[in-house]
Amino acid sequence: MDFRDSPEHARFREEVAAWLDEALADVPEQEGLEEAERRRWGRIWQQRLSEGGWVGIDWPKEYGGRGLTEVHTAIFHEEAARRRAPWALNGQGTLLAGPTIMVHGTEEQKQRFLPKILRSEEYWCQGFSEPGSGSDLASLRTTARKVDGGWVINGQKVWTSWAHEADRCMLLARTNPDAPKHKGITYFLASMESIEVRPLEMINGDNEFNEMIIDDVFVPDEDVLGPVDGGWPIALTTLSFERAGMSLVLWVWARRAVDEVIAAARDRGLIDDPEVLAELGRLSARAEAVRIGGIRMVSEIGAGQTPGPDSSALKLLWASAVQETSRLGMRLLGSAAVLGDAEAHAVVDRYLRSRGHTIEGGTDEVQKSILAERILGLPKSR
Amino acid sequence: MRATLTPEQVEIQRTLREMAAPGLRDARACLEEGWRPTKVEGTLLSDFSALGLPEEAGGFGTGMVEAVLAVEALARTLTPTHLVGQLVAVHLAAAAGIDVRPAIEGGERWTPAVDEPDRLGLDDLDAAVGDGKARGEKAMVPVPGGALDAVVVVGRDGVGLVRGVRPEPADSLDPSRPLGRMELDASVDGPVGEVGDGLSRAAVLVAADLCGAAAGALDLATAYARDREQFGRPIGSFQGVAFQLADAFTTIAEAWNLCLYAAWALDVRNDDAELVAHQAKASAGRAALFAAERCIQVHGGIGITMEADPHLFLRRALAGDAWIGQGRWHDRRAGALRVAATLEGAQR
Repeated sequence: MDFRDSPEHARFREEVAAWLDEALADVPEQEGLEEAERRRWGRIWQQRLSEGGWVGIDWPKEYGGRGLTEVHTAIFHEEAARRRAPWALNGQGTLLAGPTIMVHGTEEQKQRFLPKILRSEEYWCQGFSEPGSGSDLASLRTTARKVDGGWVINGQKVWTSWAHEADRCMLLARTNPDAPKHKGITYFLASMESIEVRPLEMINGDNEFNEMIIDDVFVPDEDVLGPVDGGWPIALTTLSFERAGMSLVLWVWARRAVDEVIAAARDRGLIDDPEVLAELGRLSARAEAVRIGGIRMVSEIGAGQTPGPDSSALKLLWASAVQETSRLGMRLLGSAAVLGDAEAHAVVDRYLRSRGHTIEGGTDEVQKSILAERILGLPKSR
Repeated sequence: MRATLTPEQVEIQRTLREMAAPGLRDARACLEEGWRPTKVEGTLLSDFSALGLPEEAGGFGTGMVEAVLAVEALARTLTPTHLVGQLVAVHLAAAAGIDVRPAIEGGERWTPAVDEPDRLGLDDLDAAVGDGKARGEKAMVPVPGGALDAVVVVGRDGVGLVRGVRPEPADSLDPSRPLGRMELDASVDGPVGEVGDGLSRAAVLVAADLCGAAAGALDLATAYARDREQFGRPIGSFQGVAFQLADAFTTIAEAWNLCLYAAWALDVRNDDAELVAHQAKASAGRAALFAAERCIQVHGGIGITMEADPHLFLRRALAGDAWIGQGRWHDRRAGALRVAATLEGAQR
């Protein structure tokens, strides 16, 4: 067991670091910027990643990737996060859509979609959840009706991150209303052109996610991913990439939350308080465990092992680490947090945003069910 | 990065799982008839006392990662053994530059005297070790079966070996690992050394013991939840039960990740070894207590009887959380070190 870089990984890290230092030279600190401004930098950063060849680090060369491993991708994310790089806006394309298409797409689809993801020419979003279908995703009611040369889709999607920036959508719709609910769903790679997007305001004021109104939208046959009525297993592939991708990237938020609370405690003169120190110790341990667990998972993938459902435990730990840490920050800041003092902004924003962490990417309740059934072997509760 | 177990590490884990007590019968016998070591105690102490020691200290090429794998495997069934006490003593001594060959080659039994009564932590120890003498009060000293050859005493100014003394056994909560108290006023045998990373090593070994106990409690609770039926279905199919066990799994995952990493960080002398050792010890104590408490809860009425096994895990969890520094003290130390790292901008 070795958490250090191999010589080859160390060289790669140096290459990454050198590129990042230069590419980030004119990029402002993102924390505290207006959301629209952060999004503008998110697009710029996404383009720079493409130009630098840092999209698809672990994609096979035949599809235009670098042909390296998940460990290399993890190293890149770690170095970028350490330098507080902007949030690249096409994560849905690079971490979810691309890998899913590589597994389930036809050769024609791979040639058509993957290069545009690598070049950041096509941004993606994930049209899975619906107003009536959250945790019970397979009950979704958006329909696709067969017509000549394609499908006509009707329905509504919700909680769609970055839909207002997206050109394409991983869209699930019911193609067979008579089949059992998992067996009548088809996975579409739909153009966003005719889909109406309505932004939703989150409790921290951001407009990261949206609802989508899909009204008689035509999708051609060549944009169906995998077999008709066979979309459910493909959706699960995307969801497993989502959990894996989260643990690569998101531990940084947990560590940053700890750093912010340390700054808040210092500014308030509470940094030597034994109770505050104990809480910081407890929460920093959780943040660190998420980082370590992520490295172990990536290493297992690199060694050819399939990451198991214990990625659900990492996701639970990550969400609670950020939530509890930023909650501690709120309580230390007290009136400054409530009255909107500038120095409290980062903690308040992180706290409010973090309420979503136990909901997005599979709620805590879904993750616990996965652990109970698939690791502990307990009988299904449903 | 290749943070996966090597084939040798997997082999050590497998070996120790086979040597661990089969089920909880041995631990229960300790409760009912007094402490008696597992039948492979002799082999455990003779073959594994050098586990995790650097080669310059007499080790045979295994690291702390191997040591925590072994300790965790034994603790899953609360195997009655002095091995953890022996390892803690040997590591404390080796870190202080004391010759540990008598313990790892000569068959001597050593035990560590670290914690003190009325103290949560280890940063304000009262005991004095120096000038050829060791003086002070110690608590939580493991009492091995049979002969005890030396006590490794950690004092405020150093670490030394004391011979010819024996802890007074207490009526400890945990029958599977007898603990005692000592009033020391004795000569130190050999040199007195600085503590070095000995306390971090000790904390990580105990963290591994707690992780094992936590996993054992979760196993027991899970098996019961699959079998026990109420309202015509296994109770594990109720989310109220299942989610408690999923939470236990998650807290154990946190502690075990920290434990493995801390062990590795000690082996390669990484800068963050001390920080993560504190984090691991605190986290493992929480995980073990939580898993044992959930185990009792899931068992319902039978879970609060002496005849059922869940309380055996609770006893080990409580004892381990309080040994080599109370869990809450480790939290606080981790917090202080983490704050220092942030304020110095020394984060990786």
